Amino acid sequence: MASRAGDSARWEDVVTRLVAERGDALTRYAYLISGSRDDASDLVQDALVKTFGRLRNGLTIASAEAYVRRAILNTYLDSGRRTSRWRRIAHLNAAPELEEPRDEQTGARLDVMRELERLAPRERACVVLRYYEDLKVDDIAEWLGISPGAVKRYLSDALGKLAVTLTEDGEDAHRAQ
Amino acid sequence: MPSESELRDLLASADAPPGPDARLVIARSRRRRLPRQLAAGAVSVLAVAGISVVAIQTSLTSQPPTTVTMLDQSTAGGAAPESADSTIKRAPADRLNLCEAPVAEVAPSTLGLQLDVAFPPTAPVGTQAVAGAVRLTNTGTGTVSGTTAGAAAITVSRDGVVLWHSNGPMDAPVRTITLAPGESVELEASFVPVICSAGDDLSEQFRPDLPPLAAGDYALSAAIDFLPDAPPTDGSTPGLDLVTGPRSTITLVG
Repeated sequence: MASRAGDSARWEDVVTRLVAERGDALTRYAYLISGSRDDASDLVQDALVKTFGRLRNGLTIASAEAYVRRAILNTYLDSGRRTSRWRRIAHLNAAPELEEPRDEQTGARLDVMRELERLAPRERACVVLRYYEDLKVDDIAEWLGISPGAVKRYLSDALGKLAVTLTEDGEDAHRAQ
Repeated sequence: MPSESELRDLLASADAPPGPDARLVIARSRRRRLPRQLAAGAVSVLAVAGISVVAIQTSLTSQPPTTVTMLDQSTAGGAAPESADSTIKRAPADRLNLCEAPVAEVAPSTLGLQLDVAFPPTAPVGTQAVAGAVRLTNTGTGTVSGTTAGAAAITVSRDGVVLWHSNGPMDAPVRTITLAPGESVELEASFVPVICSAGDDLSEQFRPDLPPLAAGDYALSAAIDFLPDAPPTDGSTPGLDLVTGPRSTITLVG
């Protein structure tokens, strides 16, 4: 019985430490991947349960975080595929909750987050993995199970959409011309 | 238009929602683990029951005491719960090591069994499975008999980090084994010289297009679950014994 109790304590300790040390980073990652504060919390919880709900031994904080990040991404992309059709027409029914920009930097951040929200799931995933996780194109391709060429295409399309929208109204439009 | 550098800064400074609740995660994980633990126990019991039936059909007259005992353990209400309970102390042999994780340190078999890998010293770089064997040896002082999987779980590692491990369904039939002190038996084994990642362990089976390992030296180790017929001599509850052994080196050549 001692062995069983010891095994149990180990994975629970990993959960506790992972949440304490990396919980905020995981939630930020999920938020950027999903573009939704509500979805981010659910994604992280579900990914943690998916990771630790399996019978595993020997997980460290680092390897567990890698599992959780992968699970967040896969779960989001899977759900994104199911809801993409709804997402295309959702803006017809409800306007996103937006705050008035308080300064230029805050306004720019809100613009980026708003435009990220409108990107296709894989486009947003590529942007976050490239510019937040600092992964190389080949690594992103491996994570997503697609070709490097496809990653470049998603990134190009995403940056194009972000740039076009962001330059429509602001002062940056003049600089871009 | 923000630059890439500004985009990085904006993403890094995004306001994130509150972090997860560890207690909730642990509670939900426990609920999710329990059916898997019970299923793992049930599979082991069913496997023993299956081999027992075969054994009865083929050798009823030669070894009636052994087969009756195994049937009693797997089907009768008294012994089965103990057996099932014992299997939930740890993951099965093929989940002992996980991709990108450190190779697990395992205590020696309580039955005195040891599992050595027996592969060719070299194998070609590529994605084709490399066939070999493992040798299960009784290093103890008494005869050991019981049931085990027909194939062992293999782990490929380097510098103590798991690069690949056996995964997916294993087709080899269950075997009944009796080993006198010093005696050994060979079981089939194989590995694929490719590198897996942490995400592959989220699936039941690895992706088929994993990249091949580069040429060089790698460590091979094996693990197998062994269900003894008789209870341990120290009086503890009989259950699955995890049998492992020393690592050996294999060289992949391009």
